[in-house]
Amino acid sequence: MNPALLSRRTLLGGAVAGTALALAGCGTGNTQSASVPAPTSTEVVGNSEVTVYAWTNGTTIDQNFKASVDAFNKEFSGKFTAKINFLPYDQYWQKIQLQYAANQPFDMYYWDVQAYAHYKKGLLANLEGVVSATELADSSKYPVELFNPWRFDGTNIYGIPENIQSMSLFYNKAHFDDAGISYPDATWTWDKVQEAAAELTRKSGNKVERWGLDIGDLGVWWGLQTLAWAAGSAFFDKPLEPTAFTMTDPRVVEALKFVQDLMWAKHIAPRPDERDAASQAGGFAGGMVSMMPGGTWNITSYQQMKDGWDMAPLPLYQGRSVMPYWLGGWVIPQKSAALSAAEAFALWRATKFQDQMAADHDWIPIQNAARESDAMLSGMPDGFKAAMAALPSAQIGDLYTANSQKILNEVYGPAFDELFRNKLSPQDAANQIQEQATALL
Amino acid sequence: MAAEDRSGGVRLSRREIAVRVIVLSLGAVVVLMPVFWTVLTSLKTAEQTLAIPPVWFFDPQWSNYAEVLRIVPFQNYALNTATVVAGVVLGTLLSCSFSAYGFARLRAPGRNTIFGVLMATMMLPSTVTLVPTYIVFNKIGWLNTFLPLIVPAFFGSAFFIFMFRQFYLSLPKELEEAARIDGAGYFRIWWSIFLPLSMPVIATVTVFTFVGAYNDFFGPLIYLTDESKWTISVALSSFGGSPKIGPQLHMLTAATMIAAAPSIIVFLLAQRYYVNGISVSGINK
Amino acid sequence: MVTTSTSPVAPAKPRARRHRLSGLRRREALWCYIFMAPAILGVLLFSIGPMIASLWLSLTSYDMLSAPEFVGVANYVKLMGDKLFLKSLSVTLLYAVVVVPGTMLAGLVVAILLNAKIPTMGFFRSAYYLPSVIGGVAVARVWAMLYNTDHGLFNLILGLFGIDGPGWLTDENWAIWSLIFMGIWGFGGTMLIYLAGLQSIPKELYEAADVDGASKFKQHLFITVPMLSGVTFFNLVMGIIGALQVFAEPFVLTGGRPNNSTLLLPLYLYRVAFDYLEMGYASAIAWVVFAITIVLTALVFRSLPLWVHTEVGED
Repeated sequence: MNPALLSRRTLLGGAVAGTALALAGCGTGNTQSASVPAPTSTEVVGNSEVTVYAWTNGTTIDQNFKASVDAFNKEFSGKFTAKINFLPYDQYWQKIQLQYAANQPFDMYYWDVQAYAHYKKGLLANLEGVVSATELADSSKYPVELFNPWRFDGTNIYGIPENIQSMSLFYNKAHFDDAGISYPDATWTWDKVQEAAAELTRKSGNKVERWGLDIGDLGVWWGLQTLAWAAGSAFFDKPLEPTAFTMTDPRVVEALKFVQDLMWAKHIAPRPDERDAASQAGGFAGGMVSMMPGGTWNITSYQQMKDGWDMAPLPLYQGRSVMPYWLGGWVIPQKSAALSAAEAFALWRATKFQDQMAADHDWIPIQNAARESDAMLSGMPDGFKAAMAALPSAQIGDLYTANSQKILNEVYGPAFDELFRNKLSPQDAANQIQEQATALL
Repeated sequence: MAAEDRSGGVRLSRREIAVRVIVLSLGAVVVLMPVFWTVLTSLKTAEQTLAIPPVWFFDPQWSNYAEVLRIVPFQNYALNTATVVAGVVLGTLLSCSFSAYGFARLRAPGRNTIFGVLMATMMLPSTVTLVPTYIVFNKIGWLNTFLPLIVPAFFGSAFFIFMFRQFYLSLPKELEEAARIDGAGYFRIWWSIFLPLSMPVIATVTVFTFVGAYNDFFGPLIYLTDESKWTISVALSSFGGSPKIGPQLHMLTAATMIAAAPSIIVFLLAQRYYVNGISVSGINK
Repeated sequence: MVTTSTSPVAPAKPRARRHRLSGLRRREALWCYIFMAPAILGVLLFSIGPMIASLWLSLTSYDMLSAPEFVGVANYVKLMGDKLFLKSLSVTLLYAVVVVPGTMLAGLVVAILLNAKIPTMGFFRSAYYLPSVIGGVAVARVWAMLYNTDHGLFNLILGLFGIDGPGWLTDENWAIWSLIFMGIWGFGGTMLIYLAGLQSIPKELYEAADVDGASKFKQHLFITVPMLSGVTFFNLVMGIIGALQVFAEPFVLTGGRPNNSTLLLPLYLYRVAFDYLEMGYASAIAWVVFAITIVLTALVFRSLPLWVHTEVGED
């Protein structure tokens, strides 16, 4: 062993390690908060070609997206060009963050709650200036009140909304016709739903072949939350930067119990294993389930169902039905390489494109006229209009805090999992979530 | 290197042979059943895949494969994968055969220590080096390119250097001596004499590296962002089939078979080299 | 493993250096370094360098968006109390403890069966090795099909006997065992190595045992196994290292579900590093995995004299 050689080697090793760390150290380190709105002048900032990132939603919706990009390119030819890139959802947020880390953020990307964390790190562009200069600020044309949750600092909006989603009760008309039951409507209570579900369930011996009801998106925190709202409570004190969780409120616990009972005590809805089996055999769209509360984004996939189907407002829980809503739209990194082009694309989709969006029937346009237009309604089931009627009084179904991703994945996720497998009592689940979520807050 | 086709081993009576063959056959059926089942399922229609009891005889729907290739930009993924695999194979062959010559035939102070350290790195779990390596590649802007996947291959790989070294050590010294007398430099000796003679090792290393690089999932997963750059393994992991109503088992299995085919084919064609390489690694430890 | 032979010391001349190489030797040494350069650089850049950097990183909190913040051993302290980490650790250890011996046993048995003058030996050998050639993602997809609760092969077969098969991948008591079984399926590699080892056992030993009237089983127990101890040792060490790095199969098959019962350590590491961007914490996890690997490997090394047979021809 030659000590001289050895020390030289470790020195080199150290040098390499040091370089690695030095490179790590020169991270973007950009933590300034963006209080200055993006330029609204006509000068073009950044590239004229913008690469748009969204997660993939299946062939139909993706095709429509691509078509919209083509339409944009036509209208803005010579000025801006857009390209669209789809990523699978489970890698989407990861890649976005990693690109930020590499100081090569995406030019623009489709919003979901995780982007709030990017706002907190000062990475998003302030879009108040560009948005208020368009018809998006006109309350006669757009439901501007509903945009408020996106004004993260209270005044400036950090995303450009282009569509809106909600939750409804979907039901299979063919099943109802067979059983001779009249369709659900805005007057239906959860009691009535359970009655109908019992009649609609088909068994062969001991095995259930068709379920009258599936808990659907009540099995996700933002769906269950609506029951708490209806009872007059909530999971946390406010959606934007909550200061406290209120899971242990007896009304919340009652709501948890309600959903758990549907699956276990009353067994009107399939339990997790049975749900898996049913969904693999086709789920609601395959006629395995008669009623299911779910997000309105499912409408596109149901369009191809064999049976006739429709939608109704969420049933009354303790006398009330509160609708959730979610905004869909775009956020643009401050350091986007194609700032102006990105803004142009997002604004175009939120304004000129709305009519086409209505005709495509894949998203629900944010623009009032488009949403209520004949083009929209003609492709939608009859219950759509009634279901959307309560939109102006809907509540945002999101949680905006830096840790929301972690809280939802590691606290709500496993706790609900256990709750729905009957391994955890509603009170225990509530306590567990309360404790862990508060710790992460 | 062991001559693997020598059916060495115990001599048995005919009865014993028959028994062994039967037992081995049963075992092979069990072991290969998963693959067989996947192939079967890939040729069924959607309804048939769900049938209980399972359908064993049916019309093979070869169109499933065509459908998968239609939905998915397979040529793109294949091209990406080919680029990465070719780069890795080339880099590995060059660097390993090159370095092994130094370890085998040339002397320098500390050479054996270095070799020892190199061998020791085989025991280093990749999880330890993962994070800093990723950070560096991220910060120097190699994200979403093939570079992080290909470049490291040009810096040698302990196992294959070992293989080449073993082989070089077995070559007679007279070869070199003759060349040196003729005035050839070390590089010439390596390039013109050792390398051409090491065809068996080159074949083995190529086969191993090909399958390894082709099957690599983690690297492409963390370094390739855009779908246009994906390799086949990443594409398979996120394959969802077409969003028609109902399950897509027949499509998924067809896609799986398409993805697994190259490794299997390479293996079947080059079994000899595979067996060779593994035997060498085991015996000589 | 490391032989320490250095070049002969040249006749001493009062110099600062230890060795004084003649011109020819020096030239050879230079070329040796040149040839070894890619390997040396590789070790520094991709093994030793990152290893040290990872250790340093584990003492920081780093999200890649701002500079790393030194936090001392806070990450390790956090690890001890991290229930998810501890669960992941226990799952991984369970996996390793079952899969490694399982693979070795299966490999040994099949290798013994194959080690005969059977006409179709080559075919069987390839058949048993084939599963190891298929990539992790494809393997996971294949087994997802088998483990499907309602339409998977296993439950269909069980159904023929009137048994209601469990949720192989959905039941948290079964999921990890499903993974383990899938892991053992890839025993082809150990089988090939054992096969090669078997072929180097002198036949005379068996013939002598035959003469003594020993049963086949006894022969294997007292001749085969000890003679293979070197190979077993190799398989054991590489098996442990491999088992602690399994990523593709659990990632695609279960993603850690249900209820984190299949959250193997590499999966957890991936989640911490790439979903939460906690690079410092992830490095701490990586080092704990490394430490465990070292401990386990050291244990195996220590036990060497107890069971590894070193005779003429084996070192």
